[in-house]
This record gives sequence, C-alpha cells and structure tokens, in this order.
Amino acid sequence: MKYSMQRELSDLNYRLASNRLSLSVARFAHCLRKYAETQPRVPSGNPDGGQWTGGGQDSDADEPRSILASIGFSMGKLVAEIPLLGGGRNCVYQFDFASIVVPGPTNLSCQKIVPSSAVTHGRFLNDNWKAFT
Amino acid sequence: MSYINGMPVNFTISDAAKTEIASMRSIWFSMSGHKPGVLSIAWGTANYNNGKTNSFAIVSFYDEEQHDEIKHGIEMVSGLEVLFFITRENYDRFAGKVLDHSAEQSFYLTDPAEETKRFAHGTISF
Repeated sequence: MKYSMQRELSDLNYRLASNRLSLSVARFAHCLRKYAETQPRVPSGNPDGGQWTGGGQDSDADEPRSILASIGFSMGKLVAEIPLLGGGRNCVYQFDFASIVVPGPTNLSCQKIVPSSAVTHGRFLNDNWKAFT
Repeated sequence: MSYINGMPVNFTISDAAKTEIASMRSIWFSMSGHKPGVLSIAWGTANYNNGKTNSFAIVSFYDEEQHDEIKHGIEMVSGLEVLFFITRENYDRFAGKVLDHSAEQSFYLTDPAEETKRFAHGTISF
C-alpha cells in the first residue's frame, strides 16, 4: 500500500516536472524567435544605446489584438516533443504571441504545425472575454 | 463508432465545422507550405505572452507525407477521415460531444445531451 502511494506520488511528480519542462522549452523557443542577430540596435552614445530598434517587438507586442491584426492566419511550428511517463508525449508549438502544449499518445506522431486559429479562438478579439487561469 | 485510444467515442462534426475545415484545407498549403493530409483533433493548452492561459480543442492537419506514420489511427467521423491525437486523460472532453464552429469562437465542443436538457427545462429564452 505504502509502495503504491509512493509510486503514485512519484508519477505525479514526474508529470509535473514534464509539464514544467514543456513550458520551459516553449519559453526558450520563444526567446530564440525574438532574437535576431541582424536586427538593428540604437547606436551607442544614445540613452537607449544597444536596445533593439526598427522591426523588433515592443511592449505592445504582447497585446493579442494588435498581433492578430498583423499576422492574420499564421502557423505554430513544432519545437519540441517531450515524452510522458506511462506513455504519450507533449507536443510543443510556438507562435509569436503564445506557445501551446498538446498531449498525445505514444503511437501517433505530432502534427508538424497548428494554425493560429487553434490558439486565438476568436474570443481574444472580444474585449469582454476573460481567459481561464 | 469511432475510437480514442481504443475507447469508443460518440463524436460528431457539425456542418459549420466541416465548412470551416474545408476552408482551412483550401488555404493550408499557401499559408504554410505543408500539404494538408488527415484532419487531426486534439486538446491543447496555450500559454500567451501576456500571461493568460487557456485550454481547448485544436483542429489541424497532419502533413500529407506523414500519412504512413499515422494511418493506423485514422477514424471516420461524420464522413471525414480524422485522427484523434488525444490522451486517455482528455477522453471525457470528447466523448458524446459535437465539434462545432462559429466566427466568434472558432472551433469548440458542445454537448448535445446538455442542450436537450436545457430545452427540456425551458432555460432557453427567445
């Protein structure tokens, strides 16, 4: 009985760690996408010297409305596949404005891309819509 | 009857959802450079840059070139070839549901049994 509970606790801890890892991978992938070596910077000597400029994402970029207006129907690319204890995997997709984790069975492949409509669901365009947290 | 992970699921796709799926298929290649193959239905959780999260049904396509990898999992649902990329933990979200679509909500799942119950109790007003 005690062993069974320990095993169950261990499984839960693994799942939690796996989900955290999926989220971390998605965030890391997002950081990589935001970084562009060729993106211009403000010249040194200016108060904002070294900061990204021209074409970079500013603080408003986190506003779903403005992003959706600019991207329209875009695709999220598969950036990671994380195995789950007891079978299955988490497929992690990355958009400019979100990452998405899709758990699935072991015997099936991840889709290579998912459409932006999968993560926007239109409701983000509605000012009264509140996301589940 | 179709199956999710070997478990029977009474799942259907509405005409509105089928129309949207056909529309997606028609622009898929030009938008992504990937040739659309079998329709996939999954459950995912999005983490938005603004800190919000949300979970919902995801409708997408496998690449045509992935067909051999996934052909063992293809089901016929409402006249469409579908692959449920769904774990047992999320089975109940799909069992007995209808995949529907509207411009406001994109794809979403409805429960016909709940709709019937609401009508039976007169909670719908016009």
